[in-house]
Amino acid sequence: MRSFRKWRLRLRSLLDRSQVESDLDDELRDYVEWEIDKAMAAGGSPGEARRAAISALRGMERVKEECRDARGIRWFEDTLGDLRFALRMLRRAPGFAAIAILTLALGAGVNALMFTVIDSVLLRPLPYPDSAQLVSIDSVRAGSDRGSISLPNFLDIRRQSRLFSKMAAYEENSASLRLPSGEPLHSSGAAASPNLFEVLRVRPMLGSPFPAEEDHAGEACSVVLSADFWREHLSSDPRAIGQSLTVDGKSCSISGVMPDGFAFPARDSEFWIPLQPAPDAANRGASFLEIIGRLKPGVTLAAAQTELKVIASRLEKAYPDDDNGLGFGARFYQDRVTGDVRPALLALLGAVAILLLIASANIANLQLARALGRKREMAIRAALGAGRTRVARQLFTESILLALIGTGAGLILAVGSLGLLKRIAADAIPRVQEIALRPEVCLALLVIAGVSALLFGLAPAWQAARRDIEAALRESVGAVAGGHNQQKLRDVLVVAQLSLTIMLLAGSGMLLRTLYGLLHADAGFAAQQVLTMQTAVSGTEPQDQNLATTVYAPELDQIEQLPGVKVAGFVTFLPLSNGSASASFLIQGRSNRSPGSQPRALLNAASDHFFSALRVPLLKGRFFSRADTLGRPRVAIVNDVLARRCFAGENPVGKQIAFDAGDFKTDPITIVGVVHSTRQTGLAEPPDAQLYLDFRQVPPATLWSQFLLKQIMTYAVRVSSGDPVTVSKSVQQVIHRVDPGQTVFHIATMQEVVSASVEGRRLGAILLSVFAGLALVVAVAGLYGVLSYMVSQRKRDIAVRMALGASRDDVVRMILSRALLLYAIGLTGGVVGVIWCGHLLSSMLAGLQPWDPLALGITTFGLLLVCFVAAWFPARRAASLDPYATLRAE
Amino acid sequence: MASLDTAIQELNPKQLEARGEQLRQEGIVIRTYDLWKTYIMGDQEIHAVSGVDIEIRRGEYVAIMGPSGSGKSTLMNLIGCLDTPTKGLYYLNGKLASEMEDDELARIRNKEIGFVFQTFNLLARASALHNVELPLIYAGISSQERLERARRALSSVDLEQRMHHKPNELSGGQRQRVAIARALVNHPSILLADEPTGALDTKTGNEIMLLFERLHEEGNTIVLVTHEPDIASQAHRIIHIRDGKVDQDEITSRSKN
Amino acid sequence: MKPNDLVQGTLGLLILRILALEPMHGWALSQRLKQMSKDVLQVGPGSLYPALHKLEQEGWITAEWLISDTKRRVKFYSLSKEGRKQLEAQTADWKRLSGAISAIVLPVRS
Repeated sequence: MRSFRKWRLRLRSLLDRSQVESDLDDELRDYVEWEIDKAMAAGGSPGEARRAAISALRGMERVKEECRDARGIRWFEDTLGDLRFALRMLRRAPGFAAIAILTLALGAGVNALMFTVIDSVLLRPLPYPDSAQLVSIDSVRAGSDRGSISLPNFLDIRRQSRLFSKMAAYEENSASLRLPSGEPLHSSGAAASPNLFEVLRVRPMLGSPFPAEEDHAGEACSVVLSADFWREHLSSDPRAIGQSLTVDGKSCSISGVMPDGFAFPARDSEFWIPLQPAPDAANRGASFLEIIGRLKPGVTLAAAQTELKVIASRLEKAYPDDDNGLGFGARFYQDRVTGDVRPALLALLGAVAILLLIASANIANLQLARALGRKREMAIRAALGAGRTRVARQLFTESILLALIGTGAGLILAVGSLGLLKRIAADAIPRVQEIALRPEVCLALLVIAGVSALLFGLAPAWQAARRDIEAALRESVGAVAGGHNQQKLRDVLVVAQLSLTIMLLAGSGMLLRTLYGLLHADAGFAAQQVLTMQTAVSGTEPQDQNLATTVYAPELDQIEQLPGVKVAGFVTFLPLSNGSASASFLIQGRSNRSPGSQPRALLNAASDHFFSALRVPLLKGRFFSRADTLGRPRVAIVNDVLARRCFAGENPVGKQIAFDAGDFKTDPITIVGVVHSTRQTGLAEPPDAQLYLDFRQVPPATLWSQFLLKQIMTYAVRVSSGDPVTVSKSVQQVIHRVDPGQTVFHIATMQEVVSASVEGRRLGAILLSVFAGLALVVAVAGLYGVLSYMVSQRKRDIAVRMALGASRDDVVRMILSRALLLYAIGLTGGVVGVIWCGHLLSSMLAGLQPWDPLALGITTFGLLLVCFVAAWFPARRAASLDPYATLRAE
Repeated sequence: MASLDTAIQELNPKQLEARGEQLRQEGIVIRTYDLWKTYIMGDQEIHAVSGVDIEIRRGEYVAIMGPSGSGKSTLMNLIGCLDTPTKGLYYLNGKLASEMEDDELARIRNKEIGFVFQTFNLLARASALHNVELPLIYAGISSQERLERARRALSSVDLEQRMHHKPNELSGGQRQRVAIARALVNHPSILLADEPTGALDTKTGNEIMLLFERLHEEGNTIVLVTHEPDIASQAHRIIHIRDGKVDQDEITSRSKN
Repeated sequence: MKPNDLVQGTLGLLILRILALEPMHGWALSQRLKQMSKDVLQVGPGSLYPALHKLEQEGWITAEWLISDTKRRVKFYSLSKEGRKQLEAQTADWKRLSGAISAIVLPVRS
């Protein structure tokens, strides 16, 4: 009851404010009139009465305030008033408001952007039910990277494991397809064990997954397609189910269409076919499968790892030849997908966090400056009866308002740039199609903005509240300038900004330099004026057809006849492009070592002109020649790494090697040449041993031709001058003329291939540079602000110096040296930070030079110039000060 | 325009220079010829100083007195080389200050003039010693000599004990003495004091005036700008300014001759 | 004694006590307080009105607008039933507290 009345009164106070206010007025006026009456009654003169009234009236505003307070509506009214007032103040200081909001928007915007990317890519579970149960299993051999697993080993793991509810094997694949309409096209997808969709727990949105019995199926084949493929190539026709599609020459019936967003194992996977037992499937040494398993509920990754260790040691014992030194590693499938980009994304998150710090320091600086500039205003408000907390609250409301507007603008900025980022990051970041701004991110950002407003709005607010009102009002008496501590705080903030900016700039400098270094490092070939295109035969050719002589050689000959073409070559795996294959081999005349310790090399079939097309230098011996045909003694070319590794101190030319494993067994092959090594897998990776076989000598109808010639093959065409793209059409025409079933795709200049291979690094470098650039702008604005403020605060100081004989140059020098001092301290802090962060970064990002004196030097010098410019304007303003007018305006 | 000296306006640079030299030899520190300072406010011309001719000799103790708005502050700024005249000539210690550029003015302020301001105008963050040292820095004097001379100047105003104190640790009178030491440290041709007791209580003000008297006896040329007759009467000559003109030029009873 | 020196909350008790005698308006209340305390306690409007509004908010006193003989609108406060209870409770508290304080502060008579 009582509380009801209280609230009724309170409500009335709120809703019927004018009535309450006029009641309050009446009540207090009544008091004053009683006082006057009393004075008159006591026989006082009207003058005395007037004095009594005035003394009674003094502070009535304050009394009213306190009555409102007592009525408990104060908070609400004040907040509204504060907001209105804050808006008015911001409108009145548009420069301050603009800089503050822009600074915050930048800081908040890039943070929202990176939060969103990290949230979408790293944090959000993969779009599979209970995706935390999905685990990827790799083989781990001592001294080598994670690798694939052979079919027999996979089957053994699956049989023996007790902790996985299901386990599937798959192989990333690309294939020549022929649509029901007869149109050929090339596409990538995967061949997977039929239970893949059960492991992932995703069902087709149309039709069904492959029939389970195909586990051991014979010739019947079915294919599941992606939603995009179905829409684009089958015009979303539901009747497509059951129609047949040719996959690498084999007719498969379309059994299902996966839902949108299903992107397994890659973003561009468009089809899934049952894993066909390959001819060498029984070979325990032929590792080409990836394994994904689903843990039983409650099973930890560690437990699974322990179990896999036990299985591996069992297999090692049972099959010492093939599984010697074998181990299995399990990691969450999500880590497999995103693990590569995690360090880079976290580094970028660090960068934007630094940017936010810089932005916050800027806001704090602006607020401090303004609080000082407004201390008279605040003091007057305080003298008029506003409590200190009231003044502090006013300032705080302002900074909250600023934070909200800034964050809002930042969110808009983030949303706007998200689309751009998704476009440029499409090839560099996994799950890029899933990147979307979520409410949680907005919320997190608002919290951060709130906290930063609290921190950076509170300092000036507190300072304002603490100020002695009288002292503030009387300020101007005595010596020149005040606020020493404040200036110090502002200096510290600017120094911190400069330090952080140097860190970001140097970091981006390092990335750019590393990138530049990679792009200009000797990749082992000359990328200019070379057009590359990948092709795949349809797969319908007879098993024993010699593709080398019937398709590839004629094509190469005809391409070389084309006008503008200088030389055309051809290789299985183009450097920096579509993967690699490696095999172990024997060196004739050396004692046979166990299979596990035989030398290995990246394997390629190449045409005689491949090396001249890419200008791979010949170091010893000769290139392939037309005489090296099938039936002639087999020849090979090795690279310098292999030569060094296997024939140290000897001339490899003339030496013989051979392959030994199962179906790959060959007669001895003579090494006829040594070429410079090319970077096969990445510019940052050191070159590996390479072995080239002449494509004409690859025996048809063997596993060799299966692996080296029926793959995607890459043509490299060097033009005599100009843009290599100009010959693209005519080369494609030749290919279609010779083999109409052959598809051509991924047409790119070799330079584009090189550049695409560093896409991730480029994106990282670009983003970091953008962030560093923004930081620079914000920090320099901060420096400019501090110096301008210093000049305006110390006008009298400067005028006195001028009166005492300081020339204008002296004044300019004084301000510039101040800037230089701040810069120097900032630089010191920054360099320490750079060294520290450099080590951190280089441990996160492979191939990064942690200490890059040139990048640091350029950064340092550049920042010095920018600081100089930022200081120049306040310095000029100080120098153009009129000492006479300034001293007079005391 | 009664005191207009037309002849001097006609002189060529060489002759102007010669005139300066002549003035210097005659011991005339300050000489103005038909000095004007005019401000444009809207479409109105305001003559803050209109045709002032004054002459002050070395060793004189002169008060420039006038009510506020009389133009005495403007005149002080012209004499102090803080401002340049609109028209007319101004010789300071033989140099034609009215024709100087900014940087030359800065140099001449540094060398020839010692300012004492009403509100002291000390640098708040610097010690007394550093404040006194300041003009020497701009004169380009070595740090050792600077310290020595600043210390001597402070001891001449009896503040050697407090030279490491900052202004806010000193009393008003002490602050003004620091300011006077600062004005003296460069051995200027004139000591130019603008209401030097204006921010002080009477007792402290009297002490400062005694200090001026002593400085005068030691041979310094002192120009005092004030609106208070009491203060002005302590000088040996009073130039009364009214409406931008010299109204009266009197020798006070304190003058020894 | 200035109102500021009044123990926080004591003013509320005094107001309740005085209003227990009869309803009255703010100024009269301040005069009565002064008179009852033999001029020791003087409360200005700055303390009085906020305290009144607070008590009204609590529901311990109620307010009523009346027209005075001089035709002015005057706000009369009177003690509510709850206010009376509150007065009793606070008075008891006060007795206890002041007794305790006296025992400590005042010198013991021998």
